[in-house]
Amino acid sequence: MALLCGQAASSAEWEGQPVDQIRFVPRAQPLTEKELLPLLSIETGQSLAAEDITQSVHSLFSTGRFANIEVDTALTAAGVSVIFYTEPSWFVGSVTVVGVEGPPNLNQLVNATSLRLGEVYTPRKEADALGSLRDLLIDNGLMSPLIEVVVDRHTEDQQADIQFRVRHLPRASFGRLLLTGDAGWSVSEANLIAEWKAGKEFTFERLLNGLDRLRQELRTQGYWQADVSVVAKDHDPDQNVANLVINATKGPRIEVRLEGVELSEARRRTLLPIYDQGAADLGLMAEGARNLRDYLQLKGYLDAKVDFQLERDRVEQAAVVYRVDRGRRMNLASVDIRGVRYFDMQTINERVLVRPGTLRQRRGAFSTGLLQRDVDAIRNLYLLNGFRDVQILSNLDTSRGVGELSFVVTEGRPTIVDKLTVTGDDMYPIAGRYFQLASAEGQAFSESHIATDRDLILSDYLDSGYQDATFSWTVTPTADPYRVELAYNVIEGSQLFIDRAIVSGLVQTEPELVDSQLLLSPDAPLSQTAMFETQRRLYDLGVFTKVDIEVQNPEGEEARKTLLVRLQEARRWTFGFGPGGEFGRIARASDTNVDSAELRFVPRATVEVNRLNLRGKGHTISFRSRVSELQQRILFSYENPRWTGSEKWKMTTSGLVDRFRNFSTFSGRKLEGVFQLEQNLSKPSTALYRYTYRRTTLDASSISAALVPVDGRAVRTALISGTYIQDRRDDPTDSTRGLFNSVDLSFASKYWGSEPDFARVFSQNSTYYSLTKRVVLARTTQLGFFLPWGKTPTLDPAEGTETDTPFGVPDSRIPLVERFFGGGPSANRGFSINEAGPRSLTRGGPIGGGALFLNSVELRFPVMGDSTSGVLFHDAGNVFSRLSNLSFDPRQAVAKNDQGDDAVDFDYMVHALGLGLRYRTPIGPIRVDVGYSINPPRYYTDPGEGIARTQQRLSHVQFHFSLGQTF
Amino acid sequence: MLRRSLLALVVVALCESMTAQMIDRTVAIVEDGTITESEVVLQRRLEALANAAEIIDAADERERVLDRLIDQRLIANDIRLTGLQPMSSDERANLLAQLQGQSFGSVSFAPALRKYGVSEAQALEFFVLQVEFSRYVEFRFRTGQTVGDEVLQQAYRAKYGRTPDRDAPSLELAAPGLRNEVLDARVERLLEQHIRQLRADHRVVRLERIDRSAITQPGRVP
Repeated sequence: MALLCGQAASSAEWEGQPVDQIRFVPRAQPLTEKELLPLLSIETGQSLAAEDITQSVHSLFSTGRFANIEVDTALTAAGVSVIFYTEPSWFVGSVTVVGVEGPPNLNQLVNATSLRLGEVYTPRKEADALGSLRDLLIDNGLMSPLIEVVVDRHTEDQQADIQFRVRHLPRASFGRLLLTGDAGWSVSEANLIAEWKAGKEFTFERLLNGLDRLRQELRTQGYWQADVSVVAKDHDPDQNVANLVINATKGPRIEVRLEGVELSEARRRTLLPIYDQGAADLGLMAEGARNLRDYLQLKGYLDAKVDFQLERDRVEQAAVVYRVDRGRRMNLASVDIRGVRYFDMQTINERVLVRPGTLRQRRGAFSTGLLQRDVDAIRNLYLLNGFRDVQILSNLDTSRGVGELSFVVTEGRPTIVDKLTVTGDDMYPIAGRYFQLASAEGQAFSESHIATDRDLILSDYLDSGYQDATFSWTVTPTADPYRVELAYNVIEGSQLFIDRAIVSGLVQTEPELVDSQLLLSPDAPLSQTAMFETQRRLYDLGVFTKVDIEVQNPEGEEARKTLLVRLQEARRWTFGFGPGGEFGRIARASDTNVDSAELRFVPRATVEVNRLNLRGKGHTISFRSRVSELQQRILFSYENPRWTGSEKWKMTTSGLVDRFRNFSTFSGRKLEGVFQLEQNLSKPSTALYRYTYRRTTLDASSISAALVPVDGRAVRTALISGTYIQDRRDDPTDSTRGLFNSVDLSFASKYWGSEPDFARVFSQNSTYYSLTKRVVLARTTQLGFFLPWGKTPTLDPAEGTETDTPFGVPDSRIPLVERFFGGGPSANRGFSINEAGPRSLTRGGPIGGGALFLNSVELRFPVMGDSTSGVLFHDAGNVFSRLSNLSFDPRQAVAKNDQGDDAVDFDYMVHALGLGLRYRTPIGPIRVDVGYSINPPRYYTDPGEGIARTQQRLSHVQFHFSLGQTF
Repeated sequence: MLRRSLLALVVVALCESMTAQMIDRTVAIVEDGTITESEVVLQRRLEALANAAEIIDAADERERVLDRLIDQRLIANDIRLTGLQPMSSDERANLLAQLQGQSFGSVSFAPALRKYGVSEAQALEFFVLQVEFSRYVEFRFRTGQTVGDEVLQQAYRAKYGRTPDRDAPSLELAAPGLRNEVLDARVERLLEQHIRQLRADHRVVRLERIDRSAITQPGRVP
């Protein structure tokens, strides 16, 4: 064999030989052949040199894809063959920790490993991860943990999924406590303060909280520099307890004295940061002195002076003394600004917070802090416009018993950019970008503009794959001292592209659902914006609790990067239960006479079950049930948030079974099905297209038969509807600016299954104005009406008539259950819920109408802090029998009916004034409103059967309790 | 015919496996870079050149050279971060001229290069690095260091004893030399500590040979 093969080659024999073949072992490499060849410094047919081999190894290694490389040569007939043996690098994929019942929780455990998605996975990182995990477990009382690391390596993408399997003893308890230091506590006292009871499970959080409580205990006694820390901790395996040695030293006791002014404890704590920080260092004391001075100046003590001193009588006792000389109390009479030529005074005044006295604020607003802030604001305005030499002097003259503040501005001349050059942008010229630079030739020179340009340029480079781009600038004076040459220099670095995106973590979810959200296409530049936007879209699907997107091998020098998208699916079943209620004038179920409506609270319970990510496509199916005295409802719904795969279309199908009581009018049952498509037209605009089919049956005992067509107690209504919504409010739950418009058109026709035929229009326009930072003027106008057609149904004449009135009555072609009802916390607050509009001539309860109008104006203002606000409101509106009977007349007309009795008109405008309180919660404000109706309606009840006809009047005062703003 | 072709292929493959020799490999990782076996060999030659010593071909000496190379890489990274200016082209030219006028053992520069099997460029790079390291050490560890009188006296006593003999120089005479010795020792200590810290803070991995039995059939890049 040796004779056949020849001798083994020495370096002298292979150097200089032509390269016959180049091979890689194994055949499957992390990079393709096309990517590998250009990295090598050797080529077939060329002479082989040792330094070329070394350089090739370095180039391959610098890609980050290889963990180890060996190079063999072998002599062949035509030269030498070169064989590269490689081991691939591994990159962190999913990291899980099993076997631990928290605390610590899963996120804390995974974070402790410091293994980041996409980073190279090395034995050292694994060892560090193990160490950190072990420490975390022990810190939480899980002693003697045994941790096994199981790594699942995927050769196709060099990803390593790492699982840490933990076995540990039962959690240790708090054991013996040994105290050192001069705190003076006994062990039992310390345990009590720290809440470390013997036998209580030992966790890191409890340890830290306990240390905090001990520290706080000393601080409340005036020992602000108290230190409490763990000196030693050990584990007794026999008893499974954690014994602690704690050192608690008091430090000096520090007292705060104010001389020359009296302030409440609360005010002191607000003004003096030494309380908050628990430290008496010079910086904090000086800050406290400034705060005190500013506070007094705002109160009118314009000449207030505050000195401070730390007096230490003994080692263990010190006092922070603030000596205050308030001076005379006076008003700030004038604020004069001189020397401004370049700007108009409005521009300057917008930046000035100090204010002379007014009727509302007699003393004005002045403090040294405000003054400094104003000087800085004016100076920044000038600097932004190139006035590098601007000087601003201020002077407060109090010699005449009032404050006279003056600003003297010496503007100087603006410095102008004579020439702007940009260099280094060869691959991606700045001139062709979408943005405009803030600095420009002939414009003001300003470092603020340069900072803006730097941010614009670098963020655009980052988005275009230039992850290492840098920006620098130089300014060169010219012959004219007020003109400069500005030069921007960019070092672009290399551009990175996306090779592919690897998605992991999908169990139930269909890959197509995820793929439709990815903005990371192969060959596109590596863009941070695309990564963030993809992350946001994946979160918006509502099926993932965690979305991580990272670059694999971030330190490697390869130009094409693999992106890793790691997903954690949410629980698919969610359950909800909530109490609630209605509060207002509500009649009892057994009472058919509306007079029985009384102010009361009706509790309500809701249960909700949701199944998310149905079929792995991001669909949702829900079951909701609401039970109360007034209503029993079951609702099923199915939602497809991306109908036909489009982001702009959402489909909802729902079915409803509802047993209801319309407060004081009637009760019944409703079966309803809805198919709705929602189209996202633009960010503020949405369109809804709906088909609704419902069958409503009224309870015979609850309603006057004369109000219901003979064959109409069960009504089948089918509607085709369209709604347009434009929402430009800043915050839908509590708006302070913007507008809201909506228009809803519905058509019921026998052609699509409806018994009654009608068209229904409802529109709303709401606007919001911020009068000041916290005072908002809000208004809304609603108009709705029916246009029925077809034959008028027959009413039961034997039951008497509800039409014996000279005034308008609702069109009987509009079923009772479809009519407008108004009044309540979200409508005219002069009425209780649904009490507005035409009423039954016999039983007196509201029977709805064919038209609705409401105009509501609210003044919203702060009452206390940020969470409590109040409103003053005026509501004007009503439900009218028909559109043609809509009236703005505030008087309720009276006339005689055919029987010669008085009859009243319900078609008039009811006005209510009121006030309310709002308390802000994370889900919207809780509100209480009291409405006073200026002209509530009178009505008659005439039940017959020997019961006398009586006149009633709705109460002037209505109380409303609800969640969310009125509109 | 077919059997003969197959036999020829088997012979070729076997021949390659018998005659193939490893000519280079990665032996260590320092941060994001690597050190190859050829670089260790080169370093050994260059150190032998600089010391005008024989090349020691022992495994433990190889390990020591590798260690020094690792430290060199870490320091080189540190120098880059410190922002110290590298040697200018004039300085490099002057250094080369100096080397060319120097003797290495019994031979001058050019024959020494041949003796140790290194090129002029490799040798120059090596010596440039030594100069830059010296400047870095001077800047980072020596600047601002002082030797107090008490330390000087202790060093004098340690060198010449509590009662120096007649031949021993006086403290005043010996002071400059002693000062340098104390500073050198101090700087060396600081440098060692710094290198230890750099190794702890950065990724340094020694690589073992690839387990070739775990690798599948060889592929071919045309």
